[in-house]
Amino acid sequence: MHFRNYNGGVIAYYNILLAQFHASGITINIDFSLGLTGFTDLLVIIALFITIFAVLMGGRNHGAYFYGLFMASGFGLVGLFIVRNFLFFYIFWEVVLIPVFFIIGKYGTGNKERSSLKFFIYTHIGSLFLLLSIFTLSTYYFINTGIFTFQISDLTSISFLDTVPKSGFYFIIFGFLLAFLIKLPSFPLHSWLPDAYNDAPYSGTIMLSGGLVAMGGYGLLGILYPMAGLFPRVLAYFIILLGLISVIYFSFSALFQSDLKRMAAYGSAAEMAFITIAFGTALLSTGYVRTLDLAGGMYQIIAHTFVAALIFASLSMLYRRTQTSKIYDLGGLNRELPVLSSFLLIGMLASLGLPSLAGFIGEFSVTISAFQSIGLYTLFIVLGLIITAAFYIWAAQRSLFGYYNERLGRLKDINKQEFLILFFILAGTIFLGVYPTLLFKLLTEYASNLGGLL
Amino acid sequence: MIYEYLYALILLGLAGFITLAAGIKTDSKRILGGFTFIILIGSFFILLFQEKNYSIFSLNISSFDTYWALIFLVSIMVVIIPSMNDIKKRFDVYYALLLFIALSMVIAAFTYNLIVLFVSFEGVSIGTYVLTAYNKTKRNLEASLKYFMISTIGTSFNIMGIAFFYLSTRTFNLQAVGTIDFNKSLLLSLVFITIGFGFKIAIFPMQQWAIDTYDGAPNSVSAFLSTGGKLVAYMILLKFLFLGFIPDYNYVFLFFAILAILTMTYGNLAALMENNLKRILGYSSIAQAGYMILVFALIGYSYYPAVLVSKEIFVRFAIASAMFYAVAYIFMKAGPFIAMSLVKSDKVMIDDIIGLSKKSRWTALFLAVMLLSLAGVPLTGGFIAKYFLFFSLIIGDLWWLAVIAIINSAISIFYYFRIIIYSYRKEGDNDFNMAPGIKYSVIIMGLITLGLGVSFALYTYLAGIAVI
Repeated sequence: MHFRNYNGGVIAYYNILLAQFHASGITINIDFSLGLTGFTDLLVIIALFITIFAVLMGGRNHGAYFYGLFMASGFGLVGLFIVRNFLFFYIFWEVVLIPVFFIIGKYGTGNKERSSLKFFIYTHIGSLFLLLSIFTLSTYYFINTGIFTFQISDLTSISFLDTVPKSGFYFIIFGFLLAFLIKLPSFPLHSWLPDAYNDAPYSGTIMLSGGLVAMGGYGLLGILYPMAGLFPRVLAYFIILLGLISVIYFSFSALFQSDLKRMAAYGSAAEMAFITIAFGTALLSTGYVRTLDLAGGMYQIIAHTFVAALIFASLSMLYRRTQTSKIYDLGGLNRELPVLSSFLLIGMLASLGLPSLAGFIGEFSVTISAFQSIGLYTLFIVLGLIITAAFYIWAAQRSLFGYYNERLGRLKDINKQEFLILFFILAGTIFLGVYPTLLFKLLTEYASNLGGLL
Repeated sequence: MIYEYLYALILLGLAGFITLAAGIKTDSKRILGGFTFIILIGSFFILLFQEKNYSIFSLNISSFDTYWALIFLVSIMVVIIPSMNDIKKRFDVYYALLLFIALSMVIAAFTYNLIVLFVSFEGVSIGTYVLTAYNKTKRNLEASLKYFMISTIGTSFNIMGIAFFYLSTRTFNLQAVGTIDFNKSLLLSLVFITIGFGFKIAIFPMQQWAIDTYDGAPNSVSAFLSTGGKLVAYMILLKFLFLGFIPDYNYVFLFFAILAILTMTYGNLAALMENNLKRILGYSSIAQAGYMILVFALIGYSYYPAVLVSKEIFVRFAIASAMFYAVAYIFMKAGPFIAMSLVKSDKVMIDDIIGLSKKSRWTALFLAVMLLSLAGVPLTGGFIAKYFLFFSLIIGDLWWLAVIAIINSAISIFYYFRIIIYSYRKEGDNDFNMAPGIKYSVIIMGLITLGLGVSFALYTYLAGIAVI
């Protein structure tokens, strides 16, 4: 792959015909095809990174099963990002789900069985509608051409989608949107999130927040956006509305949490709302603004992976020492755990969008390009950002600084191994914050080749 | 020689008598079971490799019929080894009965004559009455009696339906039916035959015996009843519906669509509130029957003008998906029933399965695979089966039916996952019967379920032969 000369589109492409049926004027092709774009190659890299971080945070007292489950979900993630066929897209979409269900249900804490089931059912309902949409697409393609195929390149081409009747097309959009917005998650479809994040083991939470959420973002920006040329305009406003509500609602919810893990879960969801906003506003804008908007959204997915990994990994180490993550049980940790609490603090600052850290780039690009299309409503995003800053600073103040809670006793700061893990994630976060051009160039090249609302 | 096409049938019948005769000398389950298994494998390969497209007596040997005969043989094969643990004594009669049932099923697969279909179907039924009561415990006898009583009603409906069919078409041979006027008598025959065979498939208003019988019968017999016994009735109904008459009558579609919706919804909702594991599986098999009879609705619908593709292609897809569903269904449904033998008590409650993963990791894993397959999760046979079934629905512009089926499949997640969650719980000290026959059967069937999950080529092959 020549990243330097990349100018949008699919780079590497590989296709195998698995099975074929050809008789009486119809053809059934079942292909397995793989391809990379400027966006998905980065997603593959972060999927691998996040699997490594998650496994490293798992501790040493687990058997082969534990690591196997993480490998399986990592496999599904990578497969999902590189596959260029809707049949296998759906298969990988579900393959990620099942290991994570087991990770939560088997190794989680608290009400783990209920949470894992809730997580699975929410996402599975979304996936089933995704399946229906895929069927509808391929059926219309079949009726038009007599070829039964699931190739993404064929099924999302605008020239074909133009021939699909409007009612069928709205149904298709509905299925895709439902599946992706549940995964992201967006406002009315999020209730699996706090439970699943809270009851999963910390390594599972890292996988959920870094890996699985990227699936939703990829679905919106990588799968659905190429079809965007035929979207009705009102849909864009609806999606933006969902995004704005998500930012504010999740930030407020985070503000009222007494548990650091739950708070970080809502914080992560609030960060992901920027992707919804980026998707919605990119539907309305054109030219360079749209490119910036999409690239910002994509960058946010990648940045969020590192930021969430940093926060949840530090929280995991904190929990190992204090056996609690309730804010009012902590306090003044900076005295006993200076290194760990610094890492946690940087993670929180990155999440609230501090310049020179990863979170800033995406949020900034999305906000300024959203201003071009929705004008003063951008103030709602800013409001969300302010609340985000409020709850992170507040939590940091009450748990990391101030008087030390003596009931916690003497604590031992992180050892070399833990330091190395956090250091690598932190290095990634800072690198993404101070030298975004490296990835941003790829993303803008990719985004500028996508079609907009016609 | 014309009889070379009957070698498989002759082999099965002779072997049944040989097994009975051998019972005088031995009651060793290994010898008798092994012999039966070898005979079944032998006739499987004879059927697989013999020339297709041939008619002899009232039998018709085509690729389509051979496919059904093969999967019926498979449905018997999967219970041979597990039943060595479930059945206590008199293995000679047991295995001879299985062979005679296999013979009846193969004949049912090959024939298109309603009388022969009826007789062979009765052969399966009578055999399974005996099998259900085989251990002679109170539970078995009760289950068998209930099954016998209800099935007899079904039988009389069948006879009535066949008689009405003869009245309107003047023939018993389904293939000889030419163009017929659609009249009241034919419609009556459709309803009667649907009810008669519907008892065996456990379609909604005729389902309650199935729950009690599956619960009371020995585990491997329940496994057979819910797979092979069901599929043979399903196949007969498929043949009858597709060939017997031209359902250019709008209500045929609605009749089956409503039956399908009621059946799957009832099965899934009832399973949610159940704590007896075998009854949960029973309800789940009712729900699965609901998905399967969507194919009948599709065949009825193919006569509507609203279908988006040509009628022939539409029906071909529908029947191919039914055929794929059948083979996936055998493994994913028989496997969990056989896994119930792992639990030592007779009545298997859901608490009894706690700690299975602690005892045997692989058994728990593959049991989970089969349950996931029933729920329709990818990389399993059940997913591909549902996938192509829903695809057939969409191709016929039946979104509303697909959405109902999908919502049902989402509901079913609750109880399948409940079993999985329980089997992965750590507390409790349940003791499990880890006989290798059961353990490896479960593992192998789980592996086959996984294998079917990636066999797309099988579907395209089936689409090629799905012409009756």
